[in-house]
Amino acid sequence: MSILEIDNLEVEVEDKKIIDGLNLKINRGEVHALMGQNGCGKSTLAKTITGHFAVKVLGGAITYKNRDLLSMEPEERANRGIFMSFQSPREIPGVNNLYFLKTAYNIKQEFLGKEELNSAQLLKKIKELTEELGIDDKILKRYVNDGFSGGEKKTNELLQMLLLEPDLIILDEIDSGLDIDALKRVGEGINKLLDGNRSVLIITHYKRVLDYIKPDVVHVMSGGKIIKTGDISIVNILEDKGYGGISNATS
Amino acid sequence: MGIPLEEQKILSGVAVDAVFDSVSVVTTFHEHLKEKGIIFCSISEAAKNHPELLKKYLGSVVPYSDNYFATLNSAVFTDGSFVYIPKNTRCPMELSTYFRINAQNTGQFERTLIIADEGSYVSYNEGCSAPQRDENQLHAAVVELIAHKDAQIKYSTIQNWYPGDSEGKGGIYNFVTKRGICHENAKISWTQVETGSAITWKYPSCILKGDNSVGEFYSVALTTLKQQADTGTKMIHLGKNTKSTIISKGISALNGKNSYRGLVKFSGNATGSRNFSQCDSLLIGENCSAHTFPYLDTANQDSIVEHEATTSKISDEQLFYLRQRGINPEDSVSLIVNGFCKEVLKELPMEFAVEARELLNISLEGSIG
Amino acid sequence: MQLPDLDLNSIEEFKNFSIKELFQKEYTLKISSEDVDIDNDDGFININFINGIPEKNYFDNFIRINTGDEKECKTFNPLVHLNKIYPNRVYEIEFLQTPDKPVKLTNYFTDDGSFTPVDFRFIVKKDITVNLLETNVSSREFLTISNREFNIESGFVNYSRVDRVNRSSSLIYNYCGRVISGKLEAVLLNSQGYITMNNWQINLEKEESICNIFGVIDLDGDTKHGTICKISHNSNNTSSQQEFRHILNGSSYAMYDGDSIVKNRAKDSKTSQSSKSIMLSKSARILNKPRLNIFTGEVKATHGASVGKLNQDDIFYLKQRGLKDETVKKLLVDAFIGDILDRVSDSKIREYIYDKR
Repeated sequence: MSILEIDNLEVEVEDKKIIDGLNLKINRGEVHALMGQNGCGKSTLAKTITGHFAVKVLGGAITYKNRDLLSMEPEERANRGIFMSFQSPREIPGVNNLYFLKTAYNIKQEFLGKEELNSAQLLKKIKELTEELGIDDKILKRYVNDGFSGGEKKTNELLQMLLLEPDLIILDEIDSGLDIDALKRVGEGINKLLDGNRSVLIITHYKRVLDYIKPDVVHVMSGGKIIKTGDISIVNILEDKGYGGISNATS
Repeated sequence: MGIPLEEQKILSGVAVDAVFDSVSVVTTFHEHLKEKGIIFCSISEAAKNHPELLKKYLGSVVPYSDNYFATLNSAVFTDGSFVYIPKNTRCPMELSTYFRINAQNTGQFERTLIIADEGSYVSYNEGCSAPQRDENQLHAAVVELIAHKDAQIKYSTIQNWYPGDSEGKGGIYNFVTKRGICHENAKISWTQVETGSAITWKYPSCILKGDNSVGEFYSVALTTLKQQADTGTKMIHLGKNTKSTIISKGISALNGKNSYRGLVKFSGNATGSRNFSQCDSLLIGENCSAHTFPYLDTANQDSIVEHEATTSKISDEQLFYLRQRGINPEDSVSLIVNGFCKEVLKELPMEFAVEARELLNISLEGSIG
Repeated sequence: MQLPDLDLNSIEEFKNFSIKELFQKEYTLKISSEDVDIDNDDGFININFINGIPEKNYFDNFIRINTGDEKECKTFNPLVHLNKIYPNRVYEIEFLQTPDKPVKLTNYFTDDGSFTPVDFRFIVKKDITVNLLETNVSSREFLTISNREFNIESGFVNYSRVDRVNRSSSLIYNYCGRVISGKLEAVLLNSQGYITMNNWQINLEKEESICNIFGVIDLDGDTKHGTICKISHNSNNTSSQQEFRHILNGSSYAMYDGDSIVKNRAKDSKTSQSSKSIMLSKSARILNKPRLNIFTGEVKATHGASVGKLNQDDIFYLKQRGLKDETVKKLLVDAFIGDILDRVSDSKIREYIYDKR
C-alpha cells in the first residue's frame, strides 16, 4: 500500500523550474534512496513534500495517505506524520530545547486525539531515548540548535524524530557534518523506528549513509526528474562510473 | 463593582489596592499587614493617618517641577497607593495595585509612593487596563520609590492599557514618570511588560546615591497595530561601587514603532561602578521599526560600562522549521517571542509571569501574515 | 571671528559637543606666502595643498584636479555649509584610472591664527581602486573647517588620515558622500589638535555598497574630540561598520555619536557599531551614543560600547617582566588599537601611519 505518491510534479523556485515531470511512489515500510548531483532538485523535492514557502508547485499532484498533500499547511503535514531531518536545522535562540520538544510532542498528541504528557512524563520518555542511543542530554537544557555543532544538530533532529514517531521520514543530506560514530548512531536510531509500517526517503549525494540505512529502492535524479530506478546495485554503478555513467546508460 | 472575571483572578491571593479612575477602591489584607507595621493604603488615607511620612517623602524623588507630565500629575492627582515597610521587615506577600480607567473622556493621574525603611524588602506589582474607547485618554502617573540603607524594592508592571485600533484611532497616552532613589547598599529593581497604550513614554529610573547600591531595569515592550513605545531607563551612578543592569527587549509588529532610550551616567565620584546594558529588538513583518538610543556618559576612570544590542527578525526559515515540527504559525511566533523575552519574564513574580506570557500571545494575535 | 547664524543647539548631535569656543577666538583669513618644507615621498603619488591652494597643476594619467564649482554637498548638516560663508573653492579630484601607487594628499598650513577652509570632492568610478592617505601638517595654530565629499560609483576607496599639527590647532572635518555600489573604507587617527571633529554622513545608494569607518582617538590634556557618524542604508544588500577606539588621558573629552539608518527598502543589509574606550585618568570623560534606526526586519544590526581601564593584571604581568610603566602602557594601548590600524589595507600607507603616529 502506498504512503506517498507523486504524479508528474513540476516545481519552480525563484522563477526557475527545478522539478520537471517527476514521478515517485513509496509504499509503507519501504526505504527509498534518492541520489543525484548538487542542483538536480533533490532537496527541492523534500521541500515540496514538506510545504516550504519558497517552493511553487506548477503542476502535478502528491497524494499522502490517500489525501491531497499539496493543499495542506506545513504543520498539518507534520502532524499527519511527515518528518524532515533538515540539512541545516535552524537555530532558535531563547527557546529551551526540552520545552520545544514538549510543545511539538503534545501538539501531535492532541492532533491524534491522544493524551498529552506533562514535563516530568516527557522528560522520562526522552531520557529513555537518550540513554538508549548514548546521547548526551545536555542538549536538552540548551536553546534549540543554538550554538550546536553540526553533529549535535543532527543528533537533535534524530531525537525529535524518535519522539514524534513519524510515518514518513525524509532525511535531507543526513550525513553532512557527521563523523562515522555519529552517523552510525543516527542509522541505529532510524532502524529502530523501522517497524515495517514506516517509510523513509533518504536524500543523499554520497553512498556512505546507505551503509547504515539499507534502501529497498534507489532512484537517481537528474534535471528535475528521476532517470533511473533500481535496487542497491545502482549505487555500485555510481561508485564506479559516477553520475555520468548513469546518464550515458539511459540516453 | 463590575470587575471582569480575569481581573478578579488577579485579585485573589495577593494584597491588592485597586485604583479605578484614580480613586482607590479596595485594599485587601489590610489587617494582616498591619500586624507587621506595614502600611499599604491609598494616598488619601495616608494623608489622614500618616501625614508625617507623606510630608517627608511625597515629591522628594520626583519634584513637581520635574517635567510637564509630572507637573500635571502633581497639580491634579486625586489618589494613589502608599506603601511603608518598617525597618528590617520583609513584606510577607506580594503587594499589588490594579489600575483601571473606566470613565470616558478622562485621564488618570495617580501617584504611588513606596518607602522601604532600612533593611526591609518589598515586592510590588501594578497592573493596568482600560476598556476600548475611540478617544485618546491620558495616563500621567508618578511613581516614587525610596530604598533606605540595605533595603530592596522590586517593582513590577504589566501595562495593558487600550492600544487603539489598527488605524491608530483611540488608545491611551501613557506618559509616566517613575523614579527611585537608592541609599547605601540598597537595591531597586524595575521590571515592566508593556503591551498596551497607543503611545508610551516611560523611563523608570534609579538614582544610585548610596555606595554599593544596585539598580536594575528589565523591560519587554511590544508594539503592534499603530502603537509607539519610547521606553528605557536612566541609571545615575553617584555613589561608589554602584551597579546597574539594563535588559531591554523590544518587539515590533505590523505598524509598531519601538524605541529604547536609556541614559547611563557615571559621575566622577562613582568609582568602581559598573553598568551592563543589553538591548535587543525583534521585528515581525515589513512596516514596523526598531530604534535604539543609548546615552553612555562616563566621567571617571574606574567605572566599567558595557552596552550590547542586536536586532533580529523571525525568519521564514525559522518559522518553517517549527511548522515542519507540527507547530502552527501563531504558536511558533509566540514560542520565539517568549524565548526572546525570557530573561525579562523570569524577573516577574510567578503569577505575573504567566499573565505576561498570555498577554504577549494575545497582543501578537493577527500580527503575522 | 563671528559665530555664524547656525542653530546648532536644535540638532541633537551637537548638544554634547560644543564648538562655540572656536568662534570666540580671532582668526584671520589673510595668508602670507611663507616657504614650506614639502615632504614628498617616492612611494606615493604626492599631491600638496598649501593653505588650501594646490602647489602646482596636477594632471596626469591617473588624476585630474579641477577647480570645482560651488555645488553643494548633498547633506543637511549645517556645518558643511559653514564654508559657504567664507571664500572657498571646492577642488574636484577625479581619478581616471587606478593609480599605480598610493596617493598622499598633504595639506600644509603656514600661518598662525589663520582660518583656512579646504574643500575637496573625490570622484571615483568605473572599478577604480584608490588608496588615499590624507595628512595635515603644520606647526602653527590654525583652524580649518574642511569638507570632503566622496562620490563613489562602482569604485573602491581606502581612505586614511593621520595629522601632524600644533596642539592648539582645531580641525573640523565634514565627510559626506554617497556610494553607488562599491566601497568606502576609512581609517582615521585623530589629530592631536585642541578641538577636533569628524562628522560623517554617508548614503549607501545601491546594492553591494559598503561603508566602513574606523577610528582611533587618543587624547590628553584638555583636548576634545567629537565623532558623529551617520550612515544611511537606502538600498538592499548594503553593509556598514563603525568602529572606534578611544584612549583618554588628562581631562580630555570625547564624544561618539553613531547612527545607522536602515530604510525599509534596504533589506538584507548589515550594520554594526562599536566604541571601546580606555580611561587613563580620573578626570577624562566619554559620551557614547551608538544609535540604531531600523525600518526593516531583514537586517543584521548590532552595536556595542564599552568603557574601562587597562587591565590591572596585564599591567602587573608586564611590570613583573621588568618593563617600565610608560612602556607597559604603550604596549597595552598598541594592542588595544592594533586591529584598527591593521584595517589600513595598503602596506605603504600602513607603514607611514605607524611611522608618524
